[in-house]
Amino acid sequence: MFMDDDFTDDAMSGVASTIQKLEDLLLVTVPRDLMDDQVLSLRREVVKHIRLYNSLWVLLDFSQVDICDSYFGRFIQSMANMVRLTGARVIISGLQDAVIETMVELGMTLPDVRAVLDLDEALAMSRTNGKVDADTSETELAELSFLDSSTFDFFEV
Amino acid sequence: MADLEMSKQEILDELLAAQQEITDLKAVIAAHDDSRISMNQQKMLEVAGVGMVLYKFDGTVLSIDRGALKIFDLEDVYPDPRAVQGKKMGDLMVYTGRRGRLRSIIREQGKAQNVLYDFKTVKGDLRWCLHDSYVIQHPETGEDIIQAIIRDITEQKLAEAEQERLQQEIIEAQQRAIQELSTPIIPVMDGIIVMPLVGSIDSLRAKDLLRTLLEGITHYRARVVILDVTGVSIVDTGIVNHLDKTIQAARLKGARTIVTGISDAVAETIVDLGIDWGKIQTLSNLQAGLLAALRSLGIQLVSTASNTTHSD
Amino acid sequence: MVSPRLASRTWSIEGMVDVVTARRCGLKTALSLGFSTPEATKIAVVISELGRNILLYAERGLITVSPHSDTLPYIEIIAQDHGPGIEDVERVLAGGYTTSGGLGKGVSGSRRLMDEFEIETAVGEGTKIRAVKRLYRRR
Repeated sequence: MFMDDDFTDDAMSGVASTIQKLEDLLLVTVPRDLMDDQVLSLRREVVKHIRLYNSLWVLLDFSQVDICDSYFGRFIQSMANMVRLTGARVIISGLQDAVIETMVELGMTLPDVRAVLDLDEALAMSRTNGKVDADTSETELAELSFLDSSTFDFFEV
Repeated sequence: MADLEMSKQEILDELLAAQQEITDLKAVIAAHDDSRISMNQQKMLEVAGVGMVLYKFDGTVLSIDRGALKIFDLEDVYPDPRAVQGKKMGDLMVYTGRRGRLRSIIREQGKAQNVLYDFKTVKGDLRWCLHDSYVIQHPETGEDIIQAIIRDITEQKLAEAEQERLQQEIIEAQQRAIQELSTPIIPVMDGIIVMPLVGSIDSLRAKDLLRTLLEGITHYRARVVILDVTGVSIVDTGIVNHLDKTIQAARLKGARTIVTGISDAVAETIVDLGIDWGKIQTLSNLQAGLLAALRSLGIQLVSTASNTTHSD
Repeated sequence: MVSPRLASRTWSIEGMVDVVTARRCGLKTALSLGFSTPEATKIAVVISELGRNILLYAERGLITVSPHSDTLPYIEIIAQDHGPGIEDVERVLAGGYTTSGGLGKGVSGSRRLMDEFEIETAVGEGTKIRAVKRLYRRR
């Protein structure tokens, strides 16, 4: 087995995720290499913070992530499903072009998760959609494509 | 008289002895010259990157010369070539291809001439060699063994590789330039970009199309992308799949796609493929697409002329 | 002659940290070999998928990443384990089939991301997957 300090450092860096409140948004910075045990704790933390701040939106920021395998796709999906159960909605942002290309090639298109370009867009969206969330019409919801998760099965990560 | 006869015999003997001595000396000198020549030859071959190995079909090395050790980059590991005897060829090098590929050729044809063979030295460097191998009989056991003369052509090969790489890079760069020109992004308003597709889309261009679009979305901060396929002439399942991937990618980047100008043929392919474009807005032409894009951003076109009525 | 980034490496895969280390190295190796970021990302994702499969089904195994800076450079990934093997290779390659509760996209998706993809497997003995991605597409 070959161990290169350089690479070991890489594997160990960027393990911390942060959760911050921003208006109606809960901003979650997803670490570059998400370990399996972190997935569970991160989900619990997010749900706890949604209750704490009454957040309407959870923004998962992926700008740190440069490798996204199918397990990662499952994480996003399960997070979206779990957040929906608390009455909030997940938005994703900051996916790198190379990551998107790979996800699309893998068929991981997350059909019922809303994506925005960056934090500005997320904030703009929460400001226009957030306040009317409770009585959002069916067509508007369909537009946001949050409904109908049947195309993507729920998997416990 | 007798003395004279004797002396004659003596002279003759001495002459013969002297002659013998000369022959012997000549032989010694010749032998000396030969060894010098062969030593020089050996040195020359070494410098020229030529080596010789005798080995069995199971890979066991019977003998190896310095030239071959140099090619294997093992001179410092085995200062005496005799120490290599009995080792396997696999101990001297790392196979990069299928093990025994060369031996199977030699076994089948009794020889292998001018065969290009690449391997890695045990230190990890890639080497290319030309092999001339023949099956000969072992002088003692009589079994078939392989005599291989190998010539190191790594430097030559690296130079060729470098040139080919450069050529490939130029070709790729040219293709990129052509593709960038053929898939323009047109920003029509704040948050709206149009990407007209023209001609045929192969998988190579499809990838660039996707990359160009993602870059365009970031650059123009687009929220709506109008993908105009009016100019797409040939349609097959591959193209529709690529279009679908492009639209999904744009969505993950945060932009909604409106597809305009779908011909009957394209529509049919989409339906036949079973691709669900239910959530993707498709409109007959670019104008309708533009109006829909504006509407979705909450922008309305209002005529400033008082006496003209705007018709939709 | 060969830079350290372009040397062949093998990782013993026994935990997620090993998978992460292997894919990070794969990403850098691919970039050093001249792959573009999206293509290098795909290589890293394939290493990740194969590594996760090893952990999931065989618990431990090996992943080797070999860059070949030949005339036409390519990168080769070999993942091998002595796990249960794959019973229905065709079905796994077709995608959407899983025995672990996953998406069943790992192997089939990986094949789509690479230029060559071969599975050698025997039930009860293990699995060896060889995947290759070429820097320049053949014309």
